[in-house]
Amino acid sequence: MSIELKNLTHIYNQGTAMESVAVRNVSCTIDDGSFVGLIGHTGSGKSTLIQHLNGLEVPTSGTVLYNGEDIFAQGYDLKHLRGKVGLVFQYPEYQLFEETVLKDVCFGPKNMGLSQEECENRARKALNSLGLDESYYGRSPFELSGGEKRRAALAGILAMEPEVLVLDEPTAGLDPQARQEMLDLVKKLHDERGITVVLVSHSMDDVAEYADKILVMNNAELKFYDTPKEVFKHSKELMSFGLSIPEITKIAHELNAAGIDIPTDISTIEEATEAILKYFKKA
Amino acid sequence: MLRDITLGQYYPVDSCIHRLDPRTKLFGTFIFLVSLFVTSSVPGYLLASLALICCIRLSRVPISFMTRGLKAVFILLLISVSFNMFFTGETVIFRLGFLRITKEGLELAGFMALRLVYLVIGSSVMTLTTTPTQLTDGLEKSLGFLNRFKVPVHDIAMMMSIALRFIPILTDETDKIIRAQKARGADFESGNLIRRAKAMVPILVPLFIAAFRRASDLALAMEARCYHGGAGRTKMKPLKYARRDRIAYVIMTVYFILMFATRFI
Repeated sequence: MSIELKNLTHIYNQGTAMESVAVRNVSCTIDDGSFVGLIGHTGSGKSTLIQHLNGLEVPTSGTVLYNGEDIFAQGYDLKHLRGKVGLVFQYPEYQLFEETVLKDVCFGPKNMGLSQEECENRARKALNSLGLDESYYGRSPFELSGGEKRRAALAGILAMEPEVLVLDEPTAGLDPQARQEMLDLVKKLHDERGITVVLVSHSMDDVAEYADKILVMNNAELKFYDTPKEVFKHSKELMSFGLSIPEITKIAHELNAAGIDIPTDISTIEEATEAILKYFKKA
Repeated sequence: MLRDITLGQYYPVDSCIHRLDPRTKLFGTFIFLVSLFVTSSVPGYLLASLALICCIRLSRVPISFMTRGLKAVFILLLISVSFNMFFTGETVIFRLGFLRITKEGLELAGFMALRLVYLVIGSSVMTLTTTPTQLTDGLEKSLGFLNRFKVPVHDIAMMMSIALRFIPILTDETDKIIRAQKARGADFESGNLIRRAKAMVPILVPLFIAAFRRASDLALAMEARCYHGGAGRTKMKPLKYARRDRIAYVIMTVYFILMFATRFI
């Protein structure tokens, strides 16, 4: 069970003066149960890339295989696929439309043809797992706070019980606390339910802490696809793409330059603490 | 699926038509439209076709973009052509029941169709080569004389430019919402009319909210920059006629006189 991209290319407005290549010849495999961080500068093609994962965008050339099946083949059930590969757009709260939160969350499962009872069960479960309790069910989604709206919108995707969850900048516009909560929620979903997660972000700090693999896009091309440790070794190239390395990795680099001999492939605070303690113990 | 709207869709290339002053283009379009109604003979239409083809070639916009606007008027075209064909004229060529096709009717229908098609393409040449801002600037300046009659020309122009500016924004927004709802398994393509109309609700509600949100943001941003209407407002790029505009006016005048002359051949 995996998603495989094969020589995926997407060109907008081909053959006109507005022609632009959004994705160029990308091939990679997203393994089942992995947590992939997709990183790239604004306009690097990451949003276009992820819309191929559930067949919303049709590639100019190349294809996507889901569990070995070509999703762009004639007669492939894209609607079913969209239930399996849940895509949460940027600012998903703007897609809320129903009178009550519960009804809105039911929209996805209902489209999958489930019974009313099953829809509501799933909706309740999804809402509860995102920390929205019973008191929210009957409220209008438009009277919630920004962070709550976002969680309600995320619940709308979770209620379809996808195997893969793709999130486009889920923390954009949230305050630091709501941001942390959102990322922790995603992490929990990944750890507890074994959902494969693709997290799009342009913050290295977010991605470094949670992802077990990082995919770097620049200028429509895939540049790196490896573990955070390996990717952060290319700090110079990352900088040239307009991306930074995590703050903690920067500190490790600088300590190293200052003569304190600790490894520079550190990507989390825990690792850094351990390395520094080890250094001082030795000294 | 929403990319078919040509209105307010500027095609960014550099050409001598693009560089013309918007007032020249507005006047030119006006002259062209009037000339279509002045003439009703074959040489007249040949001349109009020639002028249109020249403009299209000079503008360097692909012809497929020009004809895109025709899709919208196709039904109108069909109705007006069939009315003219069946219900006017005397000399009957063909008869089927109460329907009859006459020579005069056929001619009239042909000219009518050409007129409509040229109207659409002619105005597309203008909208494709002029940015919405230029267009409203041109309108504001050309209609400036109405200020004397207490017509709020500036305010109307501002409303128009905002409306035009919002078309691509809201098109994008609609596109995004459609995608988001599709990602939740929404289906807009199957089912009968009522089901399809119902399927629009998840698009329309967020779209309206987005439109209001954007409108109030814009109003706030305008107020924050002390916008208070047209009085005393200066332009960053004031419109100025250049030599090419004078040449264009001469060509337009010659064209119009020739078109008028075709009435008498």
